[in-house]
Amino acid sequence: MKRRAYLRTAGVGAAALIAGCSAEPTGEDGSTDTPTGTTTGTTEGTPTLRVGTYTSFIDAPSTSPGAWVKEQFEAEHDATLEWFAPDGGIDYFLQRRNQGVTVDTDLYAGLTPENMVRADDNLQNGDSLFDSVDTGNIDNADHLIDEYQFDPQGRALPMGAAYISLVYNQNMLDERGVSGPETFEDLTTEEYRDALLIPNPQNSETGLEFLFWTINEYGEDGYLDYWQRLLDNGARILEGWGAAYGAYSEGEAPAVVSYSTDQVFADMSDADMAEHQIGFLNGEGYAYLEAMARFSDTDKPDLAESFISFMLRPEIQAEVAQRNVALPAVDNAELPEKFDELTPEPETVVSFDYDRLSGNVDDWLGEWSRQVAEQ
Amino acid sequence: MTAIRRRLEAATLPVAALSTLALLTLLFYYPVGRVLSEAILREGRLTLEPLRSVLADPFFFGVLAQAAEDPSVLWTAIEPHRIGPITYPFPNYKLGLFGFTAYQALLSTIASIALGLPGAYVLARFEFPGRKTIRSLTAVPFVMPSIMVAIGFIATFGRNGVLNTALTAVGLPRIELLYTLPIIVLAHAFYDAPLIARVTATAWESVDAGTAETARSLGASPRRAFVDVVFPQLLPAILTGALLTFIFSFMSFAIVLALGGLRLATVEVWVYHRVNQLDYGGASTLVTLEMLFSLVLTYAYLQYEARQRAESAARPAPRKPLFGPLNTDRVAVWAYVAVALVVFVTPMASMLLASVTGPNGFTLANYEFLVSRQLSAEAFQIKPLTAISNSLLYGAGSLAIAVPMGVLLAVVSTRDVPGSKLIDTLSMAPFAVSGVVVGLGLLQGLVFGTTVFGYRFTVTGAVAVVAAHAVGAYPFVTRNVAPLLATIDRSVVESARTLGASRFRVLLDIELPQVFAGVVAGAAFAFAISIGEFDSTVILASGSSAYTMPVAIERFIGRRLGPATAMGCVLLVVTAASFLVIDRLGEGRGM
Amino acid sequence: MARIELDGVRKTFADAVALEAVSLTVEEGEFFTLVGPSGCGKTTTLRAIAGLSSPTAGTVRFDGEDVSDTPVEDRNVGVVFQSYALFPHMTVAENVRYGLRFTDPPRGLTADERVDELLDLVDLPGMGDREPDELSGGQQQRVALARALAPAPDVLLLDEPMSALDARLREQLRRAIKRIQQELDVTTVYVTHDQEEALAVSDRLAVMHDGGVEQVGTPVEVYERPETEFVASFVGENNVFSGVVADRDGDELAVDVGVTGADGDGAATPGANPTSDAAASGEETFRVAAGDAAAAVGDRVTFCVRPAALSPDPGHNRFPVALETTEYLGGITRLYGEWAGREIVLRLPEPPADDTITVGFDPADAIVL
Repeated sequence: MKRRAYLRTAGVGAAALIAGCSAEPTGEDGSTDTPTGTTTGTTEGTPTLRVGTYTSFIDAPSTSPGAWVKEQFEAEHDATLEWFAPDGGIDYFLQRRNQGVTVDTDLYAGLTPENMVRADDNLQNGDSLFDSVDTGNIDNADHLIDEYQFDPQGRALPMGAAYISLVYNQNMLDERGVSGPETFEDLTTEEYRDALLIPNPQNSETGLEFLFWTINEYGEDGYLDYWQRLLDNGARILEGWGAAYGAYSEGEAPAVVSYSTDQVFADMSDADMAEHQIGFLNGEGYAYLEAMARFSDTDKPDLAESFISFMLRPEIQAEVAQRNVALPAVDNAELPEKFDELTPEPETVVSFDYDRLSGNVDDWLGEWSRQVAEQ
Repeated sequence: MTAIRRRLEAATLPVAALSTLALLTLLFYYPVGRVLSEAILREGRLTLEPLRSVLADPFFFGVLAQAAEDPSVLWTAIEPHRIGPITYPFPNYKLGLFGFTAYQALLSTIASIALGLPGAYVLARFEFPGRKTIRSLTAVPFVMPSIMVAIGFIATFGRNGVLNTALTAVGLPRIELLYTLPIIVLAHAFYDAPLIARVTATAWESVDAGTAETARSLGASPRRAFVDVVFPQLLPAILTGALLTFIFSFMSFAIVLALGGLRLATVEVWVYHRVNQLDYGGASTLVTLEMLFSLVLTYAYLQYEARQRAESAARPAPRKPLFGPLNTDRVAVWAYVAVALVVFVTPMASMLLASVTGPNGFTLANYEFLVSRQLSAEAFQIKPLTAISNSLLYGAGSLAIAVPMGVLLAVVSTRDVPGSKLIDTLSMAPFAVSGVVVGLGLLQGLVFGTTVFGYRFTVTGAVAVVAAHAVGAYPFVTRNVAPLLATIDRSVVESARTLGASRFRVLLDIELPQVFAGVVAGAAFAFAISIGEFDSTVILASGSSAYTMPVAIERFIGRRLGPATAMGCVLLVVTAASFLVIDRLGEGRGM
Repeated sequence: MARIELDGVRKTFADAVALEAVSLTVEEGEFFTLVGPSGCGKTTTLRAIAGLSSPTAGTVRFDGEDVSDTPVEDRNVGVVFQSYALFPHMTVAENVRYGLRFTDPPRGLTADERVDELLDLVDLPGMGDREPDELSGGQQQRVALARALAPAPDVLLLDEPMSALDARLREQLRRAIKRIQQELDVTTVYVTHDQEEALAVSDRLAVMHDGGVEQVGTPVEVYERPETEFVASFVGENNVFSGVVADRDGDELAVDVGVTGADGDGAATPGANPTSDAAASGEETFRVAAGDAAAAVGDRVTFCVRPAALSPDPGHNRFPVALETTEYLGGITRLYGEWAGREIVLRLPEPPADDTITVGFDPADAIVL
């Protein structure tokens, strides 16, 4: 042990020299050490909770709830909250686990159903990246909206939602003398030729859920045919949401697949609301769900649970929803009237749950992408 | 004392070679190798089955794969085509993903040469105020993040873009360029034509006026003299640029999707997709084929380059003034300038315009956003100034590593040692391997770490970013320096050695000063690579404050593009200034 | 100053032998020339001495010390190349001064004094500030010489230094090199393909052929006593005959060259049917001085006769030559002709009127190889 302690010190010394390189001893059997929670360590007496999330939750150019959440949480708990938003999101943690490296993070905020399915499909022997949370310890669990629950094993607890919808520019449609598209079929008509921009489902969650939405509408046997008609009518599939929305903003097409919360942002920048109309196709919106889940190898399960409980409190939910420009996951969060006005809701909520997605996503996407990219 | 110094000098080259090898192994060959090994390993066993099945799949290899199955497709696919009244038979072959990718890369290369050569002509043969500045700025498009280029191109060539507004204003019909092959080709030319222009201009300036004069005296017209005498001397430089352009366009991904859409997908789009699906085996197979293709191309080119070793010139031709009475020459040049303004300047200018335009007209809100971010950002958020200083620091650090590395490999590749062409080819590998896979390799091999002797070694943060940039940048130095180095008379080097200089001193005192123009050109592009690099940076800097300007731009993309375009303009200004500094510093030395 | 010894130096390249086990000694202060046609191995030998290429086998010694493993920069040699090889980015003075960065100038001179001294020595005083490309070829080569000499090398190596210059410049520079070499008394190895140059400047020379040394000696020895047919025909012009010893009378041999005389030896090409032609048109048996040759009756020998030794006057060894080409060299005429299928070269004070001339030679003028 002494030799190892020495080596460790030497390693740290060397790491200091070349800043950013480090060597840590692994366990005898070659697998990694018992989890130590976080790599940054804990200051004397104050535990650090490391929370993984996606970047725009903590650092978006418009508004993001990360800083506020950290401040509130730390004020109430004797703990330090550390945000960690790796490029690649949940895949980063999944790959770490697959490579036999500790995840080093306590929980993840912003998990989609596809993420959960992917994580389970890519781990062997029923191993799970996450463990289940006892809702008995979660204060406001009774008020979680049922439609937002997607994990049959109770590992993921909903954190928020948004609706995938069309955003369209009525000024441009006026030039064509038409109103906003109302059905999926509308998008394949001459009136909406060259009218739609879609983020690539291969790269973007937005595009992927739009793809699920079409599968819900036309079934596994019919969705490819629908997409073919869509493409034949001039719909464009662009790199990701940023590219699609950017091109839409430049007036390249009158409609884009985006989110029903679009008007909140438009309001913030005093934009012309006619250019930010929300279209729910067939009266539906596909629910973009995001949840929180605790990593199974955390050494601070209780603190992680406290965080989940904290995040689901109605007043926190209301504030996070506004700062994240999304919808709360509980039914007792009170939002300002203006926010409600700017975030219309569809008559029917569509979403695929865990079981519907499990084992299917790769196939759907594979068939779809070959059809679209066929040269 | 001299003895110690001499011993140190004697050790310098071997030590540098070992360090280069170690760095390349750690930051390139090991991480990439561990991903690519999945292309030929299935359940721990070697197999060529995955490669074979991709090669036999018409989706990837089109008519070639079909013909392997059933050769009759080669003639049955020939169908009548029509141009106006003429009908002619033409094969209707399916290109497949690889075929299409190569096809668009070829078109992009041709377009880049077409746009780059006149630029080289203007830069090398004309004198006008600001010539040196413009020459320095040729590398600027190179650092533009693809999303910025996409925005600029949409603003220029889009439905409501500058070009169409101008066309409709004079009563001409709109041109729908977006989401077509031509716009992708043009965007690739935006990136790579300046590269070709710069490399060719450097070669052009060293063409001895005497050669063309001799041809003229023998009765050749100016055009003949150019075609027969000058052009062959430029060809190696043009082909170097063309090769790089082809490889870059072949590997293109973000720009293809942003401007062309998925219907014009390239192989790299598929690689990215497979990686996203965590299908590393599938991704590796595609990347291996991509890489082999690029390296074979590189090898073929290097064989050619080796045969083209010309002596360096004594007396370049005098420049012609750009401003003067109009003749055919100047009219052609001004026409080119007009095209260049549309293709190169307008996309950047429109980004500048976008950064100061809000829903209600002119605004400085986007720049105010940058300032307020700087003042109030949380520790886990991105601060613009940190991004700027990191970018510059990494750029300088990458230069400091990439230039010696690149020069060293250039020295190796130009020496008559067995296998030097192979080493030269392999030294181009960082260009030939998909950026997506390099990123994945770095993530798995360095960020997650590697277990050796019971210790897990991880490499992240600033040092790793700089090293990764240097690995991605040094081939530029090598490609710019090697051809020049090869023109130095061997006995010049040997003279210096017999006078008592170590091999290292000869390099420093004799060879480098003679190829300094190439070193500076390579350095500028190496710096550009570092500044513009995104894939590896975002992975190695994850969760730390080691982010750069392109990472900041990506982070600032939101519903509105304003903040990102403002950061994009900062990137432009900072890099433009850096290039001016690099070239000015370079000018003080050199010949 | 150093004495150079090459001991069994051999050099092979990937597919060919460039040098076969060459052994040579160059004495201190000697002007030693390696001469031979291109590809003979002379430059390879020079490069082995310089340390610019390492021999596959064998040793190189300076003053008895093995320097085979000493890198080029530590051998203290000065090299002048055919292509001048001046550093184009440095002035003349900077070129000359370059070697003084690594060695102190001799005799306590400062570097500047040494540069001036050498520029004076090569007759380029005050040219230090010029750029190399402002100089003529001859001047550039003088700068290269000054540069090589500046660090006071133990050995000066000159690799075809004059090939790129015109004839007049070549002679000027040749004399300058010889003068400087004598003044400095530096051991010098000079590589050239020009045998005339080699004879003119050398203390001793080595004639090389096909990667080996054919003969080493003073110019007089090599010219007057060639040891091989190659040397005989390479150094100066020669008429080479070979045949069988028909008789031996003390120091004189009777050599029958007519019948089976030449079966493919170099210069002596057989005619279509030499036997009858030769018999009809001249003597087939020549009398030649044996010299040191220990040839006995029945042995096959080769001998040569310098063109100047063939004249219409001598009473013996006469044969008719059918003249083909005449070259007037100023005061003397060179004639090429043919006898019995062999090319014959003559030097006569004036060209004969006929297109056939019968010439002979004194047995003492023939050299048996």
